[in-house]
Amino acid sequence: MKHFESKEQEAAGLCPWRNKSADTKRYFPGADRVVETNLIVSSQRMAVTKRLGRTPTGDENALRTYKIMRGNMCCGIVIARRVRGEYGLIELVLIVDGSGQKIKAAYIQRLREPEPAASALQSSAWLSLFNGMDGDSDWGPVSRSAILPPAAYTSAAAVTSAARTAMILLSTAQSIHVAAPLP
Amino acid sequence: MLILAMRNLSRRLLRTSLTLFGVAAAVSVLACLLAFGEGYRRGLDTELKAMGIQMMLVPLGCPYDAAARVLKGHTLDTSLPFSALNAARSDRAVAQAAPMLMATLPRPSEGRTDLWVGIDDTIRPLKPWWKFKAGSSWFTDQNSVILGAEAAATELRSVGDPLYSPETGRKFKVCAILERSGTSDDSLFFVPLRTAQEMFHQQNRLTAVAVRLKDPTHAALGEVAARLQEIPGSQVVTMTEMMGAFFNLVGAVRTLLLAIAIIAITISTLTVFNTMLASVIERTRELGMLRAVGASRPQLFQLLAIESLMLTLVGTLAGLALTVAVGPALESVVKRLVPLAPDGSLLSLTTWIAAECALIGLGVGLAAGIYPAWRASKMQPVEALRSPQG
Repeated sequence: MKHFESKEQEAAGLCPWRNKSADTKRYFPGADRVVETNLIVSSQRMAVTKRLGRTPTGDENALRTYKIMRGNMCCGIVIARRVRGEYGLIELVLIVDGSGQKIKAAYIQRLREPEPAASALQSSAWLSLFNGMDGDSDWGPVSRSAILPPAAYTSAAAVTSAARTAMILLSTAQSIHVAAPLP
Repeated sequence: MLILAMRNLSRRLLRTSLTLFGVAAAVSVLACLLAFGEGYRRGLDTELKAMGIQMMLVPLGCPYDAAARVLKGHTLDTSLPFSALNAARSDRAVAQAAPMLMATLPRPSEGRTDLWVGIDDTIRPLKPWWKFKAGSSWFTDQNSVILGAEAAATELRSVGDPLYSPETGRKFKVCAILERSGTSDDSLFFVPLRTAQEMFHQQNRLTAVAVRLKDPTHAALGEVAARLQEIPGSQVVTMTEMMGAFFNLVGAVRTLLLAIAIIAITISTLTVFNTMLASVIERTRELGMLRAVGASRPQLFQLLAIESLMLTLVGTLAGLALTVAVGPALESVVKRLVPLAPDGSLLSLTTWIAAECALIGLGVGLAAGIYPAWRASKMQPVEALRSPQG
């Protein structure tokens, strides 16, 4: 497991999933509903700290997820994260498989990066590198991929760090089976 | 003489007390009215001054819509010529005139619209609620940006961070972040005026000019507004016009209360008059006796006048004490009934107001006591001693 040096983490706040219906149709055809859930991981703070390699921020005590349901079966999970990019906010959306173990797809919902970083970060070539990754994967090759221009490295590191964090929180939450459905 | 007057007043304690209460109630109504009026005026003046802006120059069109849009952080479809700023600044009554250029940058694909505002440092005295976070400084160059608290939180920016505007292709450095103020400024991006004019291709154009006057009282406002209205391409909206309907309502209520206070004062004057006249009639023989043993007419006049003045003076002091005692309770009622009342205390019982009420009280005493005192002084001792009264 590789740990990444990144700027000291700050609480980034909740991130909305802006393209719910389009994404559900695209990534989960046949899904009939989306259930928003807050997964509480505060009881596993020590374990999270160890896996992250740093102290979790306040908003990393819980993880908001969108469970995609087909009948009673969860066919996938969507996580939206706010990322501190080099030039402003980046909103990252992770499409995770039904078991919550591996990333199926990822895309950038919002960003404020100049070119050529903006195009590179949003390119399918780079984002496809997220596919099959989880919290324990080696994210180094993703954040320093040859696909990216050097100008994109800082923001890429932030995005991959956020993705890794989200997957660690998700797997931790699933291991303790604690869920607090939103009212 | 004073002791004699006091003894005379205390002989009919119930009547004296009731008269005192009447005077106290009337003075209390008047004092409350004047104190609330003063407190309200001070509160509004403080809030207007705290706003920093007394009027705005906006482009021709609907003035209230324009001013409301600018105050709420929306752009306008038209703009002002830059010359409007110079004309405003050259007016003798203007303390500060600050230009603003506002523009929106929508990003429909991201469901986002950013509002950018070009300013210069003349805006600072007009935004007294602006507090900067630690490490902030004013614009350091043309590529500096000041972020509202909400804008900075949304973009996850700190002082010193870069910020990029994809729509205009411009890179900025965050030189300052504002503390949350609860105003529309929280979500804005502030850049130097020239930068905004370049970004949005509005050279020598402005969205509005915020104006602060040297004398922000109502008397000066109308005169200055009329002058600034003459500036070509612009029109003036005053903050008091924006609140005009509210001021009219407050003025109407004040007039009604003043009428009630005048009625109360008149009634208390008549009450004192009645009390003193009854006292003179009751004491006819006593007063005749005083004349018989050598008291002069002026002395009798003086005695009755002092009694009247003592009655009203004590009543006035009691009225002022009543105002202080019940004022806070009244204030809480008023604040519930008047939702736009200024913050802070509304009851401002100043020394001047207390002195005014005291003078009015003494005036009531004099006015009410003159005829009874004159009547007492005109008494013939022989006739008075023969009278069955007193």
